[in-house]
This record gives sequence, structure tokens and C-alpha cells, in this order.
Amino acid sequence: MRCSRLSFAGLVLCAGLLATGCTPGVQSVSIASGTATQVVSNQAPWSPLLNALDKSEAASMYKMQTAVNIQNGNLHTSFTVYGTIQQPDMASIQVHENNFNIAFYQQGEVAYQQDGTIWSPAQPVSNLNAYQTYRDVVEYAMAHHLRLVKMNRTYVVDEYCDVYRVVVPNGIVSLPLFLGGTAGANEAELSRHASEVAYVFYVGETSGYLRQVQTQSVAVVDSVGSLIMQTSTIFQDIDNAQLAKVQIPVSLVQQLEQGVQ
Amino acid sequence: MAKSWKTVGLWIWYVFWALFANAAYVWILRPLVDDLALYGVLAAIAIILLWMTSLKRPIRRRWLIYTLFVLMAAEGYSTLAFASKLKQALVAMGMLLLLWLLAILVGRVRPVASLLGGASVVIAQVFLPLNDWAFLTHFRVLQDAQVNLRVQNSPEAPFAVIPVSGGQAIITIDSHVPTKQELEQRAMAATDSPNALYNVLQTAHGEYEVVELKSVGGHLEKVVPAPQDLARVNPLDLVRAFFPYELANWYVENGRIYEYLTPFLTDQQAVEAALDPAAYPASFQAIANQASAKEIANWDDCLAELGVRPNRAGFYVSNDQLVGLGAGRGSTVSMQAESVVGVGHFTSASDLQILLVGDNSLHVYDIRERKIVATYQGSPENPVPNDIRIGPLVSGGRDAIFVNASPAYILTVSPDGTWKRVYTAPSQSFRFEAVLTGVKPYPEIVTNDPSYLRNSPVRYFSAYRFEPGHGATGQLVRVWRVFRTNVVNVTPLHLAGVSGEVLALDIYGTGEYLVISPTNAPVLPAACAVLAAIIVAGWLYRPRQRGEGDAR
Repeated sequence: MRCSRLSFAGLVLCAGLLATGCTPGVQSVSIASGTATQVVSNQAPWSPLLNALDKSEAASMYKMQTAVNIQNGNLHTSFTVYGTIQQPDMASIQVHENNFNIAFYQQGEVAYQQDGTIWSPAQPVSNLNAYQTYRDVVEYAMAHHLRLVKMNRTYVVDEYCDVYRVVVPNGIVSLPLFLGGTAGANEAELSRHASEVAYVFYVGETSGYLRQVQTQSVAVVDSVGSLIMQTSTIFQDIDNAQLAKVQIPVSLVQQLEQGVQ
Repeated sequence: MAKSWKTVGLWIWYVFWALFANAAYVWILRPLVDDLALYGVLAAIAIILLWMTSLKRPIRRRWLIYTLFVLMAAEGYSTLAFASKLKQALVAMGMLLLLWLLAILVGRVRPVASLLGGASVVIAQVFLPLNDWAFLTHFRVLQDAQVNLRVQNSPEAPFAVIPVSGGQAIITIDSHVPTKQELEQRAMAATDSPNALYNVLQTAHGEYEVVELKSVGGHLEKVVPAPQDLARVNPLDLVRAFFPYELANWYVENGRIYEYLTPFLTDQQAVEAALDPAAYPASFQAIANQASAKEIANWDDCLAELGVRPNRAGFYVSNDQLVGLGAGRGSTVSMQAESVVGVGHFTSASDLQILLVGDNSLHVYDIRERKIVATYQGSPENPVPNDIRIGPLVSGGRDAIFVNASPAYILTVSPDGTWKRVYTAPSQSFRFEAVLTGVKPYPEIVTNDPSYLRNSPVRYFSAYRFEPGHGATGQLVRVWRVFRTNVVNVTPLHLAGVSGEVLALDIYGTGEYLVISPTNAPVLPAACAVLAAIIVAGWLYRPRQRGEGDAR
């Protein structure tokens, strides 16, 4: 008697919740990445950062995960990238541009891009080394005797990192080829119309690789005003032949097997 | 006859309780939990227990179940979101009937009176959704309406405010689905490039129309904007949600402007940009420059097609020139800034001054003196965004500058041009939305900010007044808080036909917009008093043995 009453009450409760559309929510997963906040030394030597850069540039494979966040008024828009890269010419990348999703796969001279669900042939990207242009920042800063600041050691993904920060003018890093020489993209215009950029480098204490790079800057755009821009790039599974191996996407294999180019 | 009057009285009481129970939930119980965390939960439980003790045994179960029924019916209806009104009505009816049957079955509630009560909370929400009842404690809701948006690319209706005769109006976007014939026509006409047909068909179902929300007798109505009104718009105000990754493409048809979105970068370019993380700050600055130039050119082309020239309202910056000065607004002055925040009195209480933002800095330009009288420089670690509000801290005082960085802060500038940070927000998610100057006795600083106690970034629509401290900084003291989340784009407006300042605002992620006007009516204290009175009346009330429970 008591049991049937209870189950009746339970049934009623469930029916009521269903009728009003109450269901448990889903928790989102966040990326494990620390951010250094305090300056511990105002004058740090360049050699540890240079060594890390040398070692990272020579890495043969890694995963990267990046995010560009732009604050425009009360709104935030983002550009995020998940990629696996294997030097010199293999890569599998997903790009999320606000609400557009793009996938890209390359092996040697073969390259495909995916828009929605359909893969189509693409041009291979000539330089797949995502570490390389950080050298522009470090070299510029050293040549101009800019100050390298050391910040508090911070845990990134799976190890503690030494953290260095340097502030350089915008526009000193070589741009992707398609932007080179186009309107609004030359160095003079970039440095005049944007704030300086603070680069924060995270060097792994045990691995010796560059594990994370964050930037903070303000983009200044005609008729829009100042946009706060924050970017973060995390590298992981560096030189890990099991986890950072590039594989052909299953959907691409299926499509090509069906004879659709 | 006496009996039928009694029945009508009973029905009115049921309907009143249905509405009041929901109001008490939105105004009193939910805020307690939202603001005070565990203490609030305990307080809410205490209030509910207190109310339950006022229900005498013979009627307790019936009223408990009836109250649950009306709360669930209201909450359930408020979560319904169907594009089609018919579907919404059918599902609402189904939900209501199911809950009603359950209530009759379990609580043996009065069938007719309960159904009336349940229906009344649903019908009330046709006029004002349950979640927006929260505004009623401090505002009159002049309007609650909607534009149709695709929230994946435009989570909120953009507001480009323009001056019109008698007040202001808003230019925004509304989803436009072409008819079959229109689409056929357009598809057949797409012949001018290899991609033309693809472009037409791919974007056909994702188009927007540029519309105007214009005050007609104090009520905003969606109308086709006049070309002269469109000429006053800064088109970059319409694209914030997706700038610069997606490009708004505008075109004119039958005297109206339509908009469709395309990715700014080709897939190949996006991949190239993605693989050069060191260059992100420069790449996206360059992309933003190019997107802005393209959009302005595109908009100006549409204006030319409509037969008007750009005539942007107020002062603005274009190509490093501050435009709109002088008698005929024809003068310009060269300026290292990219946009105008607004006009106010920053260093002097008498001179009209323009606040500009650019290059990670703020500039105050004095119109009479014709020069910059103060400059504030941000740093890469503490940047100055374009998300800034202006308003006085005290009635009739000079204007302060409310900067929405993280954390947000308030700047003042003295007559000699020195800047002072007089307040820094205690929470990273604290935001300034507007400053209401038309209210007495002090200006109300309207914000969106989280609970001080809870470890949750959820923000509520609130207002503070500034209290100067002993040192350089001051404090914000809460004036009111409306427990509504997702309130964005809070825009003070003067509408033709409405006296005083009103606020237009969006509800994030819905396309819903409201126009509200501040009031001093003591709604919240009155609701608390009524609730207390009902509880006390319940204690005093003695039901007859048979237990009809009329007075409850």
C-alpha cells in the first residue's frame, strides 16, 4: 500500500516535470591551462626562451589548440583551432570561425578542405611550422633591447612552466601569405592603428618546449573603435609519436572511396 | 443567486492566487536563492514553511497542489519556444491539461477554478513572459516584442540609435525568408559570376532585412526605414555579433536593404591564418581593417542606390578625421582615434566635450577650445576597450567614464586633465550598462553584475549610486536589483510621445527586446506585505468541518 503510494507520487512528479520540460542540463568542459599573473623578476635572460624556441621549432609533431577572442562592445567573438601537425607536410586541422566550421587535411602535395559535410580539393599549405614566427617576436625584442619579464611559474596541461613576458609593437611578425601587402595589413598601418602586443611565453620546465603562448592587445578599427584581443595557443603531445600522429579523417576516406572528388 | 456570486468570488480568488504565487516566486523566492546562495535557500524554505502552517489541515493538500500546479504551468509555458504560434498554443494546451488532470487526481483541487487559474498564468505570459515579470518591481514595461534572429550568428538584436523628429529610433535587423517566387526570380537572375547561383541559394534562408523600430504614440513599431534614416546609421553597429569573421553583405531590393552573411576568409585563408599563431594579433587587426572598409563601402553603395548620401548622426571618426564639427557640421579635425564614445562634460561643467577612443587610449576633445584637453593611455595588460558608458556620478556633476574592461572601472578627469580611477569592480564579470540621469535624487548607475556571495558568474540587472570615499576611490551602493539575467544592449532612449528617458534592451539569445521606463511604485514591499497578510489571515481563518477553504 505504502509502496504503491510512493510510486504513484513518483509517477506524478515525473509526469509533471516532463510536462513542464524540466531536464538536467549538460556541463561544458573547459581547457586546462594556467595563466601567470604576477611578475617575479623585471629582467630575465633571453637564453632559456631562445633554447625553448630552438627545441620547439625542431619538433617533428605536436597538437595545437588555439583561441582568438575579440571583445566588441558587450559581445565576444572567437576563432578557435584544433590541429595535429607532423613536419614537414602533414596536418589535420579544424577551424571554428564564429559559427562556421572548416576542416583541413594535408599529406604532402595532397590537400582537402571540408565545408559542412563535403570535402573538396585544396591547395597544400607550404609552411606547417606553427612555432616559426615566434622567432620574429624574440629577435625583434632582442635587437631592440626590449625588456623580458619573468612571471610566476604556472602549470600548463601536464607540467610546470617558466613564464616570460615581452611587449612589442604590432605588425613586426610576418603575416600569412594571403595578407601580405593587402590594404590595412602593412607594418606601418598595423603599428599605428593597434596597441603594442604583450606576448607571454610558457616554457616547460621538464620538457623544455614552448607549451603555451598568450597575447593581449588592442586592435583599433575605423568606425568600430578599440577591440580587446586575447589569444592563447597551447601545444601538447610534442614529439609523441602515438598521440600526435596525423591520421586521414574517416569521412574523407569514405567520400573518396565512393568516387566523389 | 447568492451561490453564483460566491462561485465567481472563488474563481477570482483562484485566479488572483495563481498570478500572485508566481509573482511572489519571481520577486521574492527566486531572488533570495539567486543572491544569497545557501542562506537564500534556507530563507525560501522558511517562508514556504511559514505559509504552509497558515494552511489549515482540511485545505492544506488542495492548496499546496493547486499552488504547485500554477507554478509549474507558468514555468513550463515560459520555457516553450516554438517558431510557430499554433504549435506553441497546442503544446501549451496539452501541458496545461496534463498538469490539470494530475492536480485533480492528486490534490482533488476544484476543477473549474483551477483550470481558470492555470489558464490565467498562461494568458498573462502572452502579454509578458514570466521571466520578464522581474522588471515589474522597478519598471513599467512599455513593450515586450521580438525580432526574428538566427541566434548562432546574431544572438541579440543590434541597436543602431538614430535621431528622428521628436526623439530617437532604432535600426536593427529582422530575419527575412523569401517567398518561393522571390527565390525563383533571384536564382534565375544570378548570372554575373561563376559563384552567383551558389551565393544566392546558399544564403537564401539566412537573410535579414534592415528594419526600423520607430515610436508610434510611444510604442515601437517595426517599419521599413526611410532612406534618410538609413543614411544616419553607422553600419558597423549592425555587425558586432560576427565582426570580423563574417561579412555582412547588403543589397537593395524594392527600396529595402537586405543582408546576408558570408565568411570573410576563404577556407584556405582561414587555415593559413590558423597556422600562424604568432601573427594572430596582426592578422586579425588586418582582417578587421579590411572587413570594416568593405562593409562601409557596401553600405554606402546601398545608400547611393536609395538616392541618399551617408549622413551619420552626431560626431564620428572616419579615416582619422573627427567629423561633424562646426555650424553646418561640415568641419573636420585630424584625430588619432577611431571612434566617438559620446558627448559630455568631462573636465568642465560648461563646455561640450567629445570622448574618443582609439589606439588603446581615451581622448577628451573640447569643442569650444578646439583641442584635446585630456588623454588617458591604457597598457597592453590593462587595455581600454570600445565598451564605455558616460554619465555623472552625482546630480548635475561632471561626467565620469565607465569602462567595461575586466574588471570594469570608473574614471574621472579633473579640470587640469589628470585622470583618477575612482572605482574598480570587485568581480571580473561586472558590467556597466547605462547611467540613468532622469531619476531622483541621484543618478542610477545601471549594471549587470553577479551575486557577491555565490560563486557563479551569472549577472543580474541592477542599479547603484556612487558614494565618494575618504581617499581617492569611492563605493557603489545598490539601489535596486531586478533578478533578470541575459539583459544586454541596455540603451537609454528618448521616444516621441513618451515623457522622460526610457531604456531599450535585448534579452540575449532570443531576439526579444523590451522598452521599460523606471517607476517608483513600491511593488516589492507591497507584494511582501500582501504575502504576510495572506499568511496571517490563514492563521486566523477557521475552516468549517467540511473544509471548503473559500478564503484561501
